[in-house]
Amino acid sequence: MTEAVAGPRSNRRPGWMRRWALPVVVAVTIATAWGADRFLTRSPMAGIVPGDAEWIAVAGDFPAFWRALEASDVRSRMARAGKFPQGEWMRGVRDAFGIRPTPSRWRNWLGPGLVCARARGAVGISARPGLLLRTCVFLFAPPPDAHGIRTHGDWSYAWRDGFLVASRSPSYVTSALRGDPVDRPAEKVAIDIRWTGAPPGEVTIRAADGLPVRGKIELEVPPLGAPLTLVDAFPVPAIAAVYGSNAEALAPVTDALIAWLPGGEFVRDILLDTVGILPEESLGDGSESAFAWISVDLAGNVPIPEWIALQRRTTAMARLAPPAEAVSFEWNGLSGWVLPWVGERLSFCMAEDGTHRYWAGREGQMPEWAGRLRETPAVDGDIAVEISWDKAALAALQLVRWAGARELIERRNSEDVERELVPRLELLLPLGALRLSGRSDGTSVRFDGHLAMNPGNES
Amino acid sequence: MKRLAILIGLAVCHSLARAGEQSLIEARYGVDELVTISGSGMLTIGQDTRGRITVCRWPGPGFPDHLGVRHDAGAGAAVPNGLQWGVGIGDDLFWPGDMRLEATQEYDGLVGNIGKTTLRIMGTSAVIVQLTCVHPATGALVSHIKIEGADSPPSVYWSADISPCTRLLPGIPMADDRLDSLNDFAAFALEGERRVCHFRPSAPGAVEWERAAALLHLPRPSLDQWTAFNAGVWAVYTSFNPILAYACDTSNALPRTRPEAEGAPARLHAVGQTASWIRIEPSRRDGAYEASVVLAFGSSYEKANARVKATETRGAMNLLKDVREYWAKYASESQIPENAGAATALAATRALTTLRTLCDDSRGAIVRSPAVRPALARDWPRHGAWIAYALDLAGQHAEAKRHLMFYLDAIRTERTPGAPIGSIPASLYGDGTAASPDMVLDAEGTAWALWCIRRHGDFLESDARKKFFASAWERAALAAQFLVDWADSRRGFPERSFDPDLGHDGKPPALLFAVHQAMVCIAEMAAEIERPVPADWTRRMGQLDVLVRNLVLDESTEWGTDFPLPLLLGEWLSSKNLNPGVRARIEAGGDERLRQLPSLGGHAAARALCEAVMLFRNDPGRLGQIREMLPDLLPRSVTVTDENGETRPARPDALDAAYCFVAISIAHGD
Repeated sequence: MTEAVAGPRSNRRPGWMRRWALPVVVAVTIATAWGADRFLTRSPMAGIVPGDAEWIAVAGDFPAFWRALEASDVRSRMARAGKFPQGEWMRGVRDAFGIRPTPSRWRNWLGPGLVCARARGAVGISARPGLLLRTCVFLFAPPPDAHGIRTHGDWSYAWRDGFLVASRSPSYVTSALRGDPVDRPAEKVAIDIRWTGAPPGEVTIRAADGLPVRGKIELEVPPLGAPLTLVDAFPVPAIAAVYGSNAEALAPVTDALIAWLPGGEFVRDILLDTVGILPEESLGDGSESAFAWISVDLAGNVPIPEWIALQRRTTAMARLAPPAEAVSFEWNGLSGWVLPWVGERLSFCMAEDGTHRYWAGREGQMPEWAGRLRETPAVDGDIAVEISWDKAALAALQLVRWAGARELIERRNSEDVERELVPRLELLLPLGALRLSGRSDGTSVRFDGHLAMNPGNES
Repeated sequence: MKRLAILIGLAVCHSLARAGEQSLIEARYGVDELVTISGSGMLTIGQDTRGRITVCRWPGPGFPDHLGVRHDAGAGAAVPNGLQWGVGIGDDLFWPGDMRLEATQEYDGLVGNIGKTTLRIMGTSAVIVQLTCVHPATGALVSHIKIEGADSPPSVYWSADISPCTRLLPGIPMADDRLDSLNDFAAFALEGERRVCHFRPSAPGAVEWERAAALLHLPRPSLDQWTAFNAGVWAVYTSFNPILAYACDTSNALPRTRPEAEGAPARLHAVGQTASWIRIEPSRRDGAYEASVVLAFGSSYEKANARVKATETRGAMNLLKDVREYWAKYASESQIPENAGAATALAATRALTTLRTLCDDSRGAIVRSPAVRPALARDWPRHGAWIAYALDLAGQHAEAKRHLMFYLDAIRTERTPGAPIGSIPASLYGDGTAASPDMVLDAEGTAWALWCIRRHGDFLESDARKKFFASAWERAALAAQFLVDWADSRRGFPERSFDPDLGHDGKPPALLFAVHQAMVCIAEMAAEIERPVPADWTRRMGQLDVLVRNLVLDESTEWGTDFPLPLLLGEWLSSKNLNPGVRARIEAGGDERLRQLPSLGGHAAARALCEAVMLFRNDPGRLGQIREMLPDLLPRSVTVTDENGETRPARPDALDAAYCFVAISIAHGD
């Protein structure tokens, strides 16, 4: 039997240490980097924006929002229709920065929070990037100019308090550096959008089936005091419809639209001039009213929007005396009149049955509209809005093609319209419908609903 | 999309704007202060109170304006920079809008349409005189500047904010003003050829814009590189004097001081919303400094440049002489009443010159005015009838006939929604495209077209008349059938159609008179060329006659105060044996109008004069009264008084010119 002889004392590390040293170093490095990354990206703020931003969109966790959006039925409906909305901007990001964006890559490079805003005509973003981007900037970025602004391609960017601000407009970056921090919203898979224009408001969009939204807009709409009974009551499919109390009471909504439209005041003057030919009591009557935009008539040399509207009262309304120039008519047994304004395509047609007044912009719509109201369930709220995206897209496609053929789109001709605008508008086709309803407290309207409700899911 | 919605709204409203009155559009978006106009039937220009060329329409007065505008931030009003001279004296640089200049703008001489601008630099003896016109033979714009009394040699600049427009939008007559940001493309200077060019190819898309932007990176792109773009609208200008510096830019900010202008770096090309200016070395003659520029348009560089070249051999003074001779010849060939006094004859000549200037050579359209705001560069058949009638009274029968053939071609032969067969668009561009939205149906315009076609026959010999009526018959019959069918089935009154006085559809008495007279005219034409008159036409004429008679006999109608006198009331009266009491009542209305005449001005004065002569054309006594008023009234029909009580020249307008000429011609015994 041979006695074991103890060899010379080994100075080598124990085997476990040899085996684990590298993984431990890597793990510690990763953990440190991860910790540093978490530390660097952590902030109760999502970013900074110029003080005079017209609108601000904030995501508390943009990659999470993105993933949730990918999992929603909106994305699957678009995929089934062969529409990939992110393709174009993904290509843009890849062309600009050499990286194809994905939710994980976004988080690794720019962190979870994201703020996007528009000020003085320029759009920019702000985020709190992690270690990766900061290291790359430290190692490879050119020195900043006197204002602390660097450039990459046609992008300008700068840092303040750990936040990155980037835009194609250097003046946006300059003003954002002097701007305000924006709080990070609590909800992870949502984007908050707020705007300062007239009227100011805010909306939260959640990345879930049908894109649920809720928000508030500063509009002095008088409360209806009862559920809406006309929602979806139109017998003909509409591009867009608005339901609320009487037309006079909805004047703040009209004013808001006018403020949004360039030259809107002029259009209002014209409309008031036009509406002046109607009997004075036309607009104030009715306890509930509805307006629907049906289609665009492109048969003539100028597009004409086609519309129908309804006024309803639970108690009997006095008959609306026909204006002197009106011509008496009868549709589906209801008496009424046509007040020609300009030609057969622009007129005011009205039929009434004692509790309803049916209006249309041309006589041809009245036979399938007057007295043909659909019975629908009441909807809780003081105001409701619906947009049918496929019909809106088809109308918009007609209009952009019409405009493109007439050199009415800046720096774009018909070929460009087909190549660039038509695919974008076609993205709207599978979106279903926007359905919002709101409750007024007299000074503002709180609303909720869906931006892209699947028509198959409608109750 | 937002812009499009506004545009369509504006188009509709523009068509609804009341003719001759300040409409909502004019109140909100302003009115061009055109004082003088010049043209050749192709290029047509207008100058404002300070001598700036603020409108420049090509290939005719009924086509788009090609000058840039800037929109005031507040009211949205568009102010053209236009084409203008600048003069540097000492360190100062004076552009026409400079308030240190005292400006007058008028026509040069009694005949012709050369615009003369006199600018006095306040506090100095320096006087700047500009002569500007369009040369009829070449269709090129010629402008000459003369500076007298300057203490030191001046520097001279010519600025051009040209924004070529390649679209004529059916139904939307604002392609050149409200859509200015969609116009223009590029400007470049060719130092060797001494040319500055502005151009826009037809329907440029993203590819063309990118190609043009790529040329910006080259120090001196060649002419071939620019002319490789599609044909479209090209403007080329040069000076007869040496050109010292060129500047093409996307900023329309002009240098404000002479050192700034002289120190400006040369910029030889620009892409986008471009403007350009050149510095010219003036020539010295008899102590004064002079310079000239010439500018021409064409569908390509070659065509525009050929027009410029054709003027270069003549020199500015000879070109101005050509223009004077052309208009003197035109006046001498026209029938200006010989017994009218000098002032009346001058007014008649001026009216006729305005009409000729606004004739579009391509198809025979005659627009109201080249003005951009409001969009009056259109031919309205309801107004054009008077213009054709005035031309016939002046002996310009060939022009009148071309104008009427233009209307005959515009009569619709296919139905579209709101536009029945036989109707005529309410207004037309120079190429005959409808300039009003289709739903604006102007039945009265169609009736007026038939009336003036028949009236034109009165000025022709028997054979020529028959030939003309025969050539017009097929289309005229379509128009007549439209008027027969366009009737209220219960009462027989013409069906509702667009009424410019209301701003929407209506049934004004003037519509009844116009349709009635149109049916009388078509029956006379049929008799002349021995065509059968369909039974429904005869029945309709009888029905209309009863309706007109009822309206005339209705004692509740206050003639002369209820509404403007129907211009054809006199024609109807002269064809009827009426109860003397009824006739006296109507004439009393006319007399009331005569009493109001001295208090009227501008468009209202011109129209009232025409109403009066048409009503009393068979009444020598009252015609005599009108004749005596003419020397006082005519100058007032070409001026307007604003809300501050200040009188300024009215915008040259073909309709007012026609009213005045008809009044002069009939009052002095046509």
